[in-house]
Amino acid sequence: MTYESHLVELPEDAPWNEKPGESIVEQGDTDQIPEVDVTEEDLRQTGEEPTNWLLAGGSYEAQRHSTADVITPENVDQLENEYRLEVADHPNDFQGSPVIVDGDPPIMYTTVGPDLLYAINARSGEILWRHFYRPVVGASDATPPAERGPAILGDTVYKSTLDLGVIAIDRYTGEERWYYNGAAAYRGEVADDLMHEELQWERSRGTTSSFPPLIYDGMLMKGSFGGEFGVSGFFDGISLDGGQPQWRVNMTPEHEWVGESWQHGGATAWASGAVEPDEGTVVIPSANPGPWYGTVRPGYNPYSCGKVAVNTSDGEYQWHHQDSPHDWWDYDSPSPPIVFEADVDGETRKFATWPGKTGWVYTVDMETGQLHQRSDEFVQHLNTFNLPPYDDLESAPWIMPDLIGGTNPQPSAYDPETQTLVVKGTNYPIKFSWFEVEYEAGQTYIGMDTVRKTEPVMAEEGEQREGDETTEEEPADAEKAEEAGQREGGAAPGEEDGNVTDTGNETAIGNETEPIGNETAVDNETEGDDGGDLHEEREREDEGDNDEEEDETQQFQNEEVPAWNENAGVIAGIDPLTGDVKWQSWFSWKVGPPWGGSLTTATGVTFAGGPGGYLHAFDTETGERLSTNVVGNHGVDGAPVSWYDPNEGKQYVAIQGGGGNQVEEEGNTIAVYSLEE
Amino acid sequence: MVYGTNPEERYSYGDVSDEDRREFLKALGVVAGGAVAGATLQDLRSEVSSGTAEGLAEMGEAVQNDLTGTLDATLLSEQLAGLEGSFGLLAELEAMGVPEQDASAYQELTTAAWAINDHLAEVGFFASAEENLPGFTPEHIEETTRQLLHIDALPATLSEVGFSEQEQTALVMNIVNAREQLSWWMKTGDYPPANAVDDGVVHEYVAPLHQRAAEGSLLWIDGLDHFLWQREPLITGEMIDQGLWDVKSMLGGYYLMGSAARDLADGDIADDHLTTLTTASTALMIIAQEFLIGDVIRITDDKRAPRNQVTN
Repeated sequence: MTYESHLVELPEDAPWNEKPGESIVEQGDTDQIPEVDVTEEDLRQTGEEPTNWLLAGGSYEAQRHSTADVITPENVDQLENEYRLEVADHPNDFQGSPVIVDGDPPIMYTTVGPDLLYAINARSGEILWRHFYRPVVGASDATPPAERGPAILGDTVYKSTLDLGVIAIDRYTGEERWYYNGAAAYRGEVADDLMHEELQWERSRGTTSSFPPLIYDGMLMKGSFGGEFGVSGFFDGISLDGGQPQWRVNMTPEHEWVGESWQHGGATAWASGAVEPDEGTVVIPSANPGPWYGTVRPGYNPYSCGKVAVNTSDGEYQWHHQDSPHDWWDYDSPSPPIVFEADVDGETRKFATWPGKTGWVYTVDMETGQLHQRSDEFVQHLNTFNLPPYDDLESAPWIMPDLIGGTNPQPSAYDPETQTLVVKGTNYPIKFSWFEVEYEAGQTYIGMDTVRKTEPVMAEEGEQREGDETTEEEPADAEKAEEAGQREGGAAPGEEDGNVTDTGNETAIGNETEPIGNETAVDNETEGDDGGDLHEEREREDEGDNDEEEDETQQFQNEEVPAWNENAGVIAGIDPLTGDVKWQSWFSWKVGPPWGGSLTTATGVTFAGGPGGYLHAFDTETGERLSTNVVGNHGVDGAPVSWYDPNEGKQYVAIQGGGGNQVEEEGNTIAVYSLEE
Repeated sequence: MVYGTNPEERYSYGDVSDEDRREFLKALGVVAGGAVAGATLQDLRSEVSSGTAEGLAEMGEAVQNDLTGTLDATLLSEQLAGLEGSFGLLAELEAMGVPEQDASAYQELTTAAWAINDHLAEVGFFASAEENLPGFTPEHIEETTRQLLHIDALPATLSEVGFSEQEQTALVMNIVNAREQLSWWMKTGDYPPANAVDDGVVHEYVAPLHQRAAEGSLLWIDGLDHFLWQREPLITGEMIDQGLWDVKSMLGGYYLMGSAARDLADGDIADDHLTTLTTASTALMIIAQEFLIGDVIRITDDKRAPRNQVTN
């Protein structure tokens, strides 16, 4: 096998800087933004620096670990709610992680949904400017793909766009500087217009990118998205000086695929990578191969469903690891990797580690990519890798993990002191079967039929189970969640108290709130998620016979899965070197799986959102639940961050509380908590 | 439904059980008595009728007629000799176990096969087979297997490359006993078009069925050096052993296909035998790669090597 030749030709005559969309900027009191020169050295140090959070992953190694030490296991239950912002007018996908630039005041830059970028006074919650990018495919706040955060360097903030671009924005004013058009060329061919025709997809169900770009040593890097839509994935290196393309990795190296199957082989690189800064290597997460039926693409289908390491300087191949070679189950590997250092047999070595959708944590040698350890399961396994039968859902076995997890795009956190990786996982059983139906007269097609079990048989209304994410003190329904919030000294969403900053702050930017609401209104479209996890709904709609479907679905819902522990998901602490699962905090089928990322602190505290509307704090080593704070009456799908504000003498924790990806309740909250030293 | 039945319990790793024999004979319409123990291909041949073989000769003739180039008998003979040598390396691989970093022992097994493959693609062999042969319905598999048993030269051909009598029987039985799973592999045009469903296929990008089987086999074998080295903490001796049988089966399938092509180049093959050998060899390569994936690539906790103890 030779994997070296995977770089794509970059035609010079492509419209690399022509923008196929429109930018709209709304400004508030931008004078509040202090002039702070964010250097590449600052980016390198941010993981050690308690006063900022300059990279989405908290550091190049993406450990999501804060060295701020005001909050401890002993005092975390005294967290105060500083403010809750309700942004974007409507519930949206809030799966991101803000960046925090230190200063007086610190400034938070955060994305909301795929289109909005905010600059916020991180101390007060006041919105200072908002940038709205409307791509040619239109805009929608009806469950579009999430955008998980911005990147920052110098006086510029960078954001991925839905049309495969990157937009560079003045971080003091919100005004655009340049645009990189990632759809200007595809497979080496120049677009006829502004975008290559194969990359012009409908909003919410096409190719895009949805994680923050990575910046390292003068290079900005970002990937692509939508492995189910007939594309071949790519990962770009772009100059920071004007957004010129430098290199492009073909995520479906053609000589490793049979025939021309590489051309629609998927393996997109939509999630964020991590960088090993000493060698300048970026580790890229990769998505599933396409199409789903593997018999048209025999072989391993590298680099799908795993991680690919390349040089940041020229994109040259270093190594790759596939969690699920030649995948049939959508076991792609979007969870961002984490780079860490550890002593093994007296030798200091570097590793990359990540949880897969396969339900195990993989730890590989950072230099070679060789597997060092695969952990014990952190979610349940049942008939895993069992090939689905053909046109026979009834006899298909229940399989775990399902196509949503183990771990999907949720960023994990790592605590180097206790050698603990904190992961989130989903734990539903699913049935797969291939089917053949008449699509149109005389035309047949094959799809995948799936039934996912999210409730046990004989579930009783009101029944409480272990893992319901509710306690006698803090029930999860909306009304009582507000009460709980008040008891804890915080304010419920929309409620004003001394520290609350809600939609009133948006109004302070003038006419921002109402016009933006109108700008984003388009027809409701189906959930796109990350392009692949919701085939069930779409394909079953294609079948057309709804009554029959309902009967069939009910039939399967009445089927027992004795092996299933009836929990929807888990937050787990895992030693990535030994593979030991140290602890598991389960979430019952009643509340749904925990989504979003986690955060560890130098004092041994782990923060993570939950599906019932809470921000949880755990002891990182033992998993003991230390405290629970109310975010809102909706799922909490964001990835928490933390910083210390020396002018206030406080450590802050912020999390986006959107949700709706795996639970019914959507929201649009940014919640910030603090503890004074 | 018979389609899609997982044949996991009916796959033989070279040592054929009586139950597998009975399953095989039952599929071909023979109710086996107590005399199946130890049966060889020759024995089975006497139990199984050749059937009507309707249309197989016409199909074979059409495959030959629709070639777009000329088969090179010399090239094929030379490369088949090279491929024969690959079988001799399998014992060394078993002794080697998990390869070292950057090893190429598995890749070396396929060098000659790739040369044959490139030539077959160049002369339009795969495209012609796709055009003129039916898809892998269980019925087509059953019919061609009856014919396969009655090809006199089959045992000798397989013996040339080191398949014992037991292994020869296992190869043929595996085709029939996995006939439902084979049906998942469709002719390119039978997949749903991309413009009809979201996860459909752009037909022009999908190689013909027989080419997919052949090249897929070679890609899987080529990648084993890297895969086994990379996954060393998970790999067991049983995985190596089972994987080597799967590899041998794929190479055996390739050798049968290459031999048929050589005989065609020499004008020394009956039309119905061309159909039979092309179908059977492709089926062998498909089912062996499907089992390689299950035996070696997809490693569940119940079959992985125990977790290694890390000290730090």
